[in-house]
Amino acid sequence: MEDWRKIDIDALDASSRNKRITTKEINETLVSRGIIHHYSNDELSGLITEVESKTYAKDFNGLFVDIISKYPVYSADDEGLKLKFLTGVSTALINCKNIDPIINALSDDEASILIKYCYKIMSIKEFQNNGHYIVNWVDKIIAKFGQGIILRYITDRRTI
Amino acid sequence: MSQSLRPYLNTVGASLEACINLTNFPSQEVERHNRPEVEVDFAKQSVELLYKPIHIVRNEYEKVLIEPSVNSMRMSIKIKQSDEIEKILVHKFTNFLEQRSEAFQILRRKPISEEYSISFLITNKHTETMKSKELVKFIIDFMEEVDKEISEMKLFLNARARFVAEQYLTEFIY
Repeated sequence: MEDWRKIDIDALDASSRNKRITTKEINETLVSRGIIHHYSNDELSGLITEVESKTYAKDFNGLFVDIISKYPVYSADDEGLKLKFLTGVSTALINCKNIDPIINALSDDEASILIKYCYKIMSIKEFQNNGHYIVNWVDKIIAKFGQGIILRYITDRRTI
Repeated sequence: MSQSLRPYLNTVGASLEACINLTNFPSQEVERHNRPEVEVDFAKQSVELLYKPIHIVRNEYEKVLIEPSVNSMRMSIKIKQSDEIEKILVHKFTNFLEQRSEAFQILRRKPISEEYSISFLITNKHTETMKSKELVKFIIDFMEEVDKEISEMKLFLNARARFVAEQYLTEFIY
């Protein structure tokens, strides 16, 4: 081994082995491997318009089953726009009064995505005033799909 | 119990039961050390051992944060404090409990931040010696009882203040 002097010993140090990876870095890796879709501003604006129009028309079944739980926004160009999308989802969750038929129409994977939105919305301070509406959703989702859905949420690296 | 409290407690209970699945896991950083991974320094935490935290919020005054990891779980509760008196009572009450945290075993000496009133730390040692379901039940009971306790203390305080004020002011009646 002629070039043993070139070995970077600092890189082998135990303390540098486990560098903290941020959610952003995880998302970038998942996007680069094609595991999750990265939303451009135009795509996300279109999705926001669709969410708002369905909320306005009170077509909650179509909104949650066909849009929100099918097209999860894991990664987007503009964080402000993503927040606007979450505001739209939060408004829909609050305004929807008949939860049971929607939850019954969801598959396991779709419910896993919807619960991610619920937990994300509850973690944002601006939406915490209406937390009890979201808690109601989470309670009913857990009642239908069991605790496995929580385990899938805490272990999934695809985060909203 | 109010209509919105039941779903809140159900959600907290189910989330706790899901997260309390703990196992013995020695430190990956320091040999022969075995620490609760959620309590390790932020910079030294092993990312793969931490799970996504769960926020459960009833309103901005009542919320819970559950931070699960492979060998430990930390849970923080914000107890309802709607006015200044309740703030003082909650602070005194939680302080009293925290000073006796050895007796409670799972109680943390300090809440994780100013945002929360009280924190619990459950490690794999606790789940090996105690029943997980009972631990969850204890926390849920605590959440139910603490609101009642604070309301009772507030009523008692007001009654006592009224009595003292009356006694004091009778001195000025001729």
